[in-house]
Amino acid sequence: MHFLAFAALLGCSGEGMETADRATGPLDGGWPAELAADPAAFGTLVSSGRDGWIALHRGELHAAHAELEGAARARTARELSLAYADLDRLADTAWPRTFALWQERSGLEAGSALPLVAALEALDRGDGQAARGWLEQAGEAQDPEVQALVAALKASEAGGLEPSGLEAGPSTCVDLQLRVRGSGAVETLGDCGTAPLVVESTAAGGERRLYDPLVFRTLSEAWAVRAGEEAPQGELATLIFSEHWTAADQAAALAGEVPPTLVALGLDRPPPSADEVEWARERVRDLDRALDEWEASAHDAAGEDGKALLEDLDLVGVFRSRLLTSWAREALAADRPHQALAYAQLALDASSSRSVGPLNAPSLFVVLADANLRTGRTREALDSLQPLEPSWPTVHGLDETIGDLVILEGLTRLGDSKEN
Amino acid sequence: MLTRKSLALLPLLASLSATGAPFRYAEDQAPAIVNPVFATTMSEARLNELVFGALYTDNKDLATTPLLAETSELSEDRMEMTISVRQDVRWHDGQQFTAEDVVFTIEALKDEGTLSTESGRVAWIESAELVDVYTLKLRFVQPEARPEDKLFFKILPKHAFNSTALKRTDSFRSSPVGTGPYQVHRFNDDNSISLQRYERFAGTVKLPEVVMREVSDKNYQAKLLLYESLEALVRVLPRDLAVLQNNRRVELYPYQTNSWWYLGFNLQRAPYTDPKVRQALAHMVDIEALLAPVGTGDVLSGPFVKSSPFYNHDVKPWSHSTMQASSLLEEAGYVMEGGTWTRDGQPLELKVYAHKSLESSQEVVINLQSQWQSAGVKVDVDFLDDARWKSMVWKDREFDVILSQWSFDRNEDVREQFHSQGSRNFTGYSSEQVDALLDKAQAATDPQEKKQAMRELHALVRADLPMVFLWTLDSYSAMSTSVRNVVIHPFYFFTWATDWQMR
Repeated sequence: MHFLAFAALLGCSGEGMETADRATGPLDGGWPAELAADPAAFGTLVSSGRDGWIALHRGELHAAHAELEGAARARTARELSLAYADLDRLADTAWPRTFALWQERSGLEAGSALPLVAALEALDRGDGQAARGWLEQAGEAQDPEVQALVAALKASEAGGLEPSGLEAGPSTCVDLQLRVRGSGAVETLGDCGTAPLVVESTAAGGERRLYDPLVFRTLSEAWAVRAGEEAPQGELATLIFSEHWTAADQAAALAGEVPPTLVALGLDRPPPSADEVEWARERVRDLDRALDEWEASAHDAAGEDGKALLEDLDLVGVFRSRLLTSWAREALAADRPHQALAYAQLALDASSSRSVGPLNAPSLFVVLADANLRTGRTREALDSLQPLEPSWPTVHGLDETIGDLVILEGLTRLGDSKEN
Repeated sequence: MLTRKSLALLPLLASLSATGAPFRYAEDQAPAIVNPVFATTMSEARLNELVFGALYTDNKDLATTPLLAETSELSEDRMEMTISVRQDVRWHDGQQFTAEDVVFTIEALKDEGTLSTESGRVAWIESAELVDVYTLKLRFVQPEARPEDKLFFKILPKHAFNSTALKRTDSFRSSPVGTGPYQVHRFNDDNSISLQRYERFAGTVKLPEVVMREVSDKNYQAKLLLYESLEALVRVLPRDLAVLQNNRRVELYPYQTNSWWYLGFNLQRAPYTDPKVRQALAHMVDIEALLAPVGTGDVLSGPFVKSSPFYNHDVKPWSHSTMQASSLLEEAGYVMEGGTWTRDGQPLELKVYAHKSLESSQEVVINLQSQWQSAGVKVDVDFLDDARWKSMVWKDREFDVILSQWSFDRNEDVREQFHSQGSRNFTGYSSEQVDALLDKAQAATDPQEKKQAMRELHALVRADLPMVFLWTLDSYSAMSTSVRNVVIHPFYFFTWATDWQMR
């Protein structure tokens, strides 16, 4: 449907601003309002990099970045950086939990490189104590290339992760990633970060694949470099399809303040101390009431092109979904995972929940997975990640790792199955 | 699908709406039995969650937490566990709950006279003995790291039975007594079941009344919710998701239950003993076309959903190819005569059974019948009520092909479905390789070893074809916003229903 809107707008009448007499409210003046009222301006904006804008609307960030220019391109790079930061935060929970449970329930096979991978993860997360513990166990690794990296990490006095200078085995990928973090040259990573960091034989004759725990921080930092520190803010190109209703909201969010539109809507109330799900749901209901009312009035006031934009691109739905994703992210940061789960579940477009799309941006699936994981719904976290696998190849390793965690958690349980 | 036409139903539906504010939820079919030892369906498992208790349960973070157990102590060698049960719990008939009830339940599940598919839940317990009225000791078959994780089975009242050999037909089925937050108040003529808050429940229960309503017409369920004649749909038909999602009086909750649909062959019955016939029938099925009217979902190639760690993504579903089907049938000795495949003058004909309660099964079966018939197979169909299904499929294995669905908790353990000795192995599938893989997976403590075994199993059962794996649907529950504090359990749904309340 949104193809039609884009196509129509590229050749739209160019009537200019379609004004209407409406009472001003907290939601008048945001980007959906601007688009509905002045679709010609949108047509002009998207006439350059049309495919990129279509991809951005669909949540296809990598494709959008390849097609867009200027502020829109920088903005897409920032969104990629944010999405990888979301994945990094999820990995920061998933990896250490997997390694610890593996050690507790399975025991670590002698000679395995698993302690090295755990040490790398801990070092990158800044947990030096955990890293030292893992490195002690990693010394027994069979693979000489793994042993060499373990020795280099043990010898490091920096206390964090730094290049080993080794040029073989897992060291190659680790060093490359550390370089890419500073350069932003994500295209030089090749299959580093997507292929397993270590593949080793097990005592039982099978194969153990240990994936790269560094890749999401690498990509988040690299895309932040690509976005550039001076990328313009406040332009329409950086606001469209975002969670920032206005430029002022965007500025406030970047400054760590509550966006003024949310203040005006009364949605800035402080959360209760407990992780109450109902509080989060009620907050979303209040938001929905305000958005529904505004959308109905905007629809009445808009011209044909404006109506087409509102409907075909579901501008309000896109804003809502992005905003709820950001609320879920904030709730996770504040250690309120049940509220985060409620926000993310309410953001999800259930009618197309198996794929990335206009209402289901990549970050939504990641925060949903994170909230699931942190509320003990480890198996459900895999459901949340599945839609990302086709176009986010680095997610595969995380998916496999959380799959290991699901199995480890289930080792002491009995399964249940029922018909229907 | 909801249409304008349905608006005409509004006055009728509104009149159905009760005013006493019970919490009303819809099931496609009422539980056939309210006895957890004989529970085989999800609707039964959900109801049991309201009526019965277990020693342990999941808290909202899905961590094991005591429910009827008070304290426990595991012996140093992990071979024994002493459990003290709560002393403030009473059965719905007012009798005191004791450790004797726990011992009785374990012995009943272990009793060979109890024809239950749930017996595997206590197979790891060697013995249960009473220490005193509120204390029991369990001895295990082998050391157990976290036995409390396995003590989730529901406890039955010893005083309600005459022996440990339980029967489906015991009078308990119509007068169940549990320790859960709700007691069965009435089985109604319309197949609904009314539950009332158990006032002596050892805990707070906010909803005073729960009503399970049987609404077998899935198309009707969404209308009842929208017109406020229900507070919850356990499973929304995928094609209704968009409509419900856009209604601000309804909220959707993911409820995947790792479910998959399948067509199961009776491998004990000719001609399905012949793999070529099964392969031909599989090639005749256009799975995408069968799925389209039901809604959105993923087509599967094996017995796991695609997000499962066990799903083997290298294995593809059987392709839709009438040419390959024809070749296979010819190799199996069939010839096409008058539009029908025949062998030795006998037409290839089969009967497809589906459970009446399986959502959208009628549409699927009719379409399947059409696909197979157009490919030259004579097909009859029948929709079985629960009693016939249990008898013909579970007990006597009197079928050619069944259409059904399995749902799994987070462990996605398919052992009972595919092991040659599995209690849910209706198809009669038997493979030494698969048995060995299941044993290997069960014994494995290395997660990747287990994963590899199950992925190998996936490939094998797809090739052996005891079942044509069909799809998993987008599965959501829908709840009226008049119900607050809702958190649903990913499998049992009602585990935390004590916190729910009506606005």
